[in-house]
Amino acid sequence: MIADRPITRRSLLAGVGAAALSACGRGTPRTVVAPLVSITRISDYGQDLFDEVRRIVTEHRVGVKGKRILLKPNLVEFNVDAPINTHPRVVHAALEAFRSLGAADVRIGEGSGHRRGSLDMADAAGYLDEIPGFEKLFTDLNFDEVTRVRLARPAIDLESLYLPNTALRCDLLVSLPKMKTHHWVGATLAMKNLFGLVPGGIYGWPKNLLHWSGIPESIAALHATFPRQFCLVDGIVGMEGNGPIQGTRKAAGVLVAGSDPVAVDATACRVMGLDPAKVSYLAMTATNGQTNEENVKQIGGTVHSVATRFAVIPEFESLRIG
Amino acid sequence: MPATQPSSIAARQQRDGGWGYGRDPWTEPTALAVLALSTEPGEHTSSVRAGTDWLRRARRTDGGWPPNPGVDQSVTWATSLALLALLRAAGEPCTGSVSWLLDTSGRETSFSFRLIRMFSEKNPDREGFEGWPWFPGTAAWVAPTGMAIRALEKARAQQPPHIERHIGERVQAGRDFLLARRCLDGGWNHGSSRPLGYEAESYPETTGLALLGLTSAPRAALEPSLERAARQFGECHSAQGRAWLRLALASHAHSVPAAADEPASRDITDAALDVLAHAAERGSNVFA
Repeated sequence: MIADRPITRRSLLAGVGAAALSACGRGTPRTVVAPLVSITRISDYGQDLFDEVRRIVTEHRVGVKGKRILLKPNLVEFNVDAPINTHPRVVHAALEAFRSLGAADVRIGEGSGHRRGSLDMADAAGYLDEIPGFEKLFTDLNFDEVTRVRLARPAIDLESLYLPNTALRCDLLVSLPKMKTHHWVGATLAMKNLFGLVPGGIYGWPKNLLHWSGIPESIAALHATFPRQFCLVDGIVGMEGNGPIQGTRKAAGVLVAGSDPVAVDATACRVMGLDPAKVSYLAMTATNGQTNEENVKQIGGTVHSVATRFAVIPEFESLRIG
Repeated sequence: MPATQPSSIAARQQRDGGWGYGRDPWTEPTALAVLALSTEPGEHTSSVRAGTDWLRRARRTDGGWPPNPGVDQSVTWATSLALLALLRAAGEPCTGSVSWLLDTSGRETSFSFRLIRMFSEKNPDREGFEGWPWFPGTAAWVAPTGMAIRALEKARAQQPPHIERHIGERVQAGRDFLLARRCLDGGWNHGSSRPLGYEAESYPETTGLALLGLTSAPRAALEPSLERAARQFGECHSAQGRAWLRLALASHAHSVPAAADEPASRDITDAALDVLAHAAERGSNVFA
């Protein structure tokens, strides 16, 4: 459980800004190609997952051949009984999919922001048992070599960050988050997962610098700094309530995927019964109106067919659709 | 016997005298490696000298240490550990580094934040005691506070009187910070014990570091925490978490329970902490 929350005045300002941006996004005519987001119904983490993930990546025509790929799961806690971490089978399936589609190199990296020892957590979560040669494929991004990067979209008191070279030098960053509610921003999905790129070995545990700069603003800053992404949200079993750690299991039986992180997260929010336009970091970053369902080209299942109402803490009841 | 022999740590030293998590040297593993090698006096002399030389070169002009030489910012935990290493291995008072630590505190205790909190604060466990942040300009947390207290207490005897007094004040505030943030289960989470109104669960590494920071605190007040630490030992999945618990329990002369398994040692910090915990259990505790 992360403890300290920055000044509420900032949250207030962020909320006002988000509301304003949201309103702008809804009213702005769309002039770009609608991002593609797929919804795939899948009930468990069985062997079918390998074929499904390969099909999804193929369907999205992700440019993979000859590319260096970094898979970024979400590893948060040692408690494996709760659905906190990205399921190891999802990561394995993504690894095999990108390899089979001709990637030059596929690595797995995570810099856990909550507990130190990303590899220990991966071990506890079953990654070492599930994925052959995992230790050689894995980079603990908390202790990777770093480069100071001027952020494409600075946040308050956050104009630059030291970021791991493994993430900066890959051709495609694949965000593999768990579908969870979040007690500070409503929902944690592909975009919030990028907090794991910020090295704890420099900023500590938790990465409190990002909290002081505003969590939504920091999410937006990281999103702008990593423009080449593919996202696959593990919503087969997610977490509702007091997420991202103390919540409870919620089976949604779905994978949500696409190359536009804002569109993917907005769609995942709708699956969870949350209005993406009310989620501050999505409202801030939906420059092409992705929080509006009409501006997203959806394939596979429909939101309606997989919609699963995730319980949220009282502070976020206002995010409900409708 | 520790799972790691000090000689194997010496063997992993890099040509420039430092140690790293991977390829390049960082301050934390170098400081811990120097401390670990120093538990065998008379051995590893050249390694220790090269390590302390590396630490001196890495120190920034403000007196603090960066996480690694490529980072343009001093941070508290690297400074605390480097300070402990130079004190132990070279007997240096490092007054400039002590001053940097004394001048660094959590942003939540800054004047501007206190002013805002007067009108908005609802969280009862923020008592306003000064602790230490991981990274300057952010909030104070349990782990860096525990480390800073140990470093300052160890450095205290070698400082001029005005700094010695200041250390006494900050250490007391740091202890109060830790005690105010103890979880209901007796251990420590990262920061607040009750964020957003929910009881926080304690963790092994934070409980170990908090107890190290409270080494000089009255024992009676810490009994529930020591019991919690002993229980956490068997549940802990990381070598580092276990090592901090062992160091803390040894510092408080509390027995360490037997554990069925041995978590994997992942890097030089795990190895060094294992050596340090083993030495502490045999009466040579570099943190005490």
